[in-house]
Amino acid sequence: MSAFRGATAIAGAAELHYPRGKAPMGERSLVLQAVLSACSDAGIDPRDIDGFTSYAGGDLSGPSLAADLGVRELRWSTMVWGGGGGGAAAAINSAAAAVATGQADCVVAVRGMAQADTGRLGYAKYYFDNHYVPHGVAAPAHVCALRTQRLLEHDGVPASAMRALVLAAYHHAQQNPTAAGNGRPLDVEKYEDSPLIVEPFHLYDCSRENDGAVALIVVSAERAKMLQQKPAYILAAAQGAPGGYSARNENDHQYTSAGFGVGPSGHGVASRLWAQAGVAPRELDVVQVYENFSGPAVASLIDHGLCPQGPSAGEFMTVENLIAPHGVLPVNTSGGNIADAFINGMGLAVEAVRQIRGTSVNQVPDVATSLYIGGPMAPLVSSVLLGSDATL
Amino acid sequence: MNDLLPTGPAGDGADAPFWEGLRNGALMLPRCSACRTWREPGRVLCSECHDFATSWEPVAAVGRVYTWARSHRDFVAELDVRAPYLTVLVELEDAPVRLLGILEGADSVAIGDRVGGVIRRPINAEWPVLRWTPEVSP
Repeated sequence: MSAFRGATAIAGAAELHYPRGKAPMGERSLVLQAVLSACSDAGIDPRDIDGFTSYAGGDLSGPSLAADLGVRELRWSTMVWGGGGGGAAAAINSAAAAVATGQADCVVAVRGMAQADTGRLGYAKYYFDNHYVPHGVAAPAHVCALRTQRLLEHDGVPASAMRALVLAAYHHAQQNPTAAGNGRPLDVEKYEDSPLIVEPFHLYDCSRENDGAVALIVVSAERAKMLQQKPAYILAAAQGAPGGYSARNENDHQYTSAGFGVGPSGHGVASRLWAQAGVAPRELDVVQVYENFSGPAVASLIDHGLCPQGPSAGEFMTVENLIAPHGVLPVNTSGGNIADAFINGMGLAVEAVRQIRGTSVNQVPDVATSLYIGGPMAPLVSSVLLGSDATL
Repeated sequence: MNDLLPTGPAGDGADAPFWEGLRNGALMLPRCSACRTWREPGRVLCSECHDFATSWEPVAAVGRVYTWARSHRDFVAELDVRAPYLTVLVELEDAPVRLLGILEGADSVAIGDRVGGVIRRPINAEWPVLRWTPEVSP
């Protein structure tokens, strides 16, 4: 266990989302609105924010947001390098690292997206170079499909594991009035009959695209205790990738892993996370796992030791096991990126906070530990484990 | 399909011999001059011994399918092939390097299938690209 464990907490959280292309304001306004809402949620003055973190690039910088908010002093401004949605939890990690070491006192992790500003994410081919595009590999769906196909065909993970994750998400969305999948229940037949997008992914295996923004306010544990919300303590956070995993034009080692596994160092993002927290995977109460696509999310659960490898994954990944309130491991309890909304995966972090507070629409009873896993199969991946005061 | 299909060397030129090789009808891959470790095109430093000296050597365009994906939508407007199309990632037999490419002449494929490379020049491309066809195992 480390000094980092429980030193900081998420004290304020907010998310807003609209159908893609339908936000009444641009990305900058969406993010500012989310920050103001998160401040209101926490009960702090927005001028007290002294740091900003984000991931996946974009034009919104810490200094520009600081100017809009009129903060008293800017002390931290960090963009996570590389990985797109893989850096989502790393943005929270960076905020917590700044606060835990005294570099800043009140750091907000933000992410916003609006199609009027950034275009269709699913067709974001600028990310892929000439060793990809001439081969028809030009979207995140393609590289995730290549890795997932080997996960299924070579490693033996049954396709039913992906389907169960999706069905559980839709089950949860029926209780979430703001979820895109609310009022649209999904069953096995409808899932199997849906069109293939990039094999092995059906339509329902793919995350949504939304306009929206998320803000999460990180302060010290001491300060969080004095604020108005029940603190979601940051027990552990880790980011990175095994050596040889990333940026090698599909020559990456551990090709079917989501990137959280153990590499040549003998450690990995997941093992460092559990060790830092002093929590075992079997003790976890609830998980929000970033599903750009269903298959990579299954790989994330395997990497974190939450789901067995290979054919046995199918025995664990059943709808019954994955749904709140009484499943073995409730997953994506708001509906997630697939059935709720996709704001580059950061909405799942807000749901992880709700599970600690006891305010989810699909609340798991007596949550002590709540895990948020960021984007899988990215060049850099990250996850953060939250805990209630009972875990301190 | 009026737009140009993006092909050819990266801005830093690190993969230029790969593309020039295709123009000359050969598959050329980078190899560390010092420790002889193969690597994929585009990287300038040997990650095994940290020597920058690189030799480009011909490799037979034959290998086995490491994985595949079938696109059912036309994600790339400039692509000369329409959906549905199969993309394969091929592990070469003569060098431990995997290369992507569209599979021609087959409606289905499985991991482990043997494939051979063919060099094609799409009509809207400045440089040729490597594509793959099914090959009977020896």
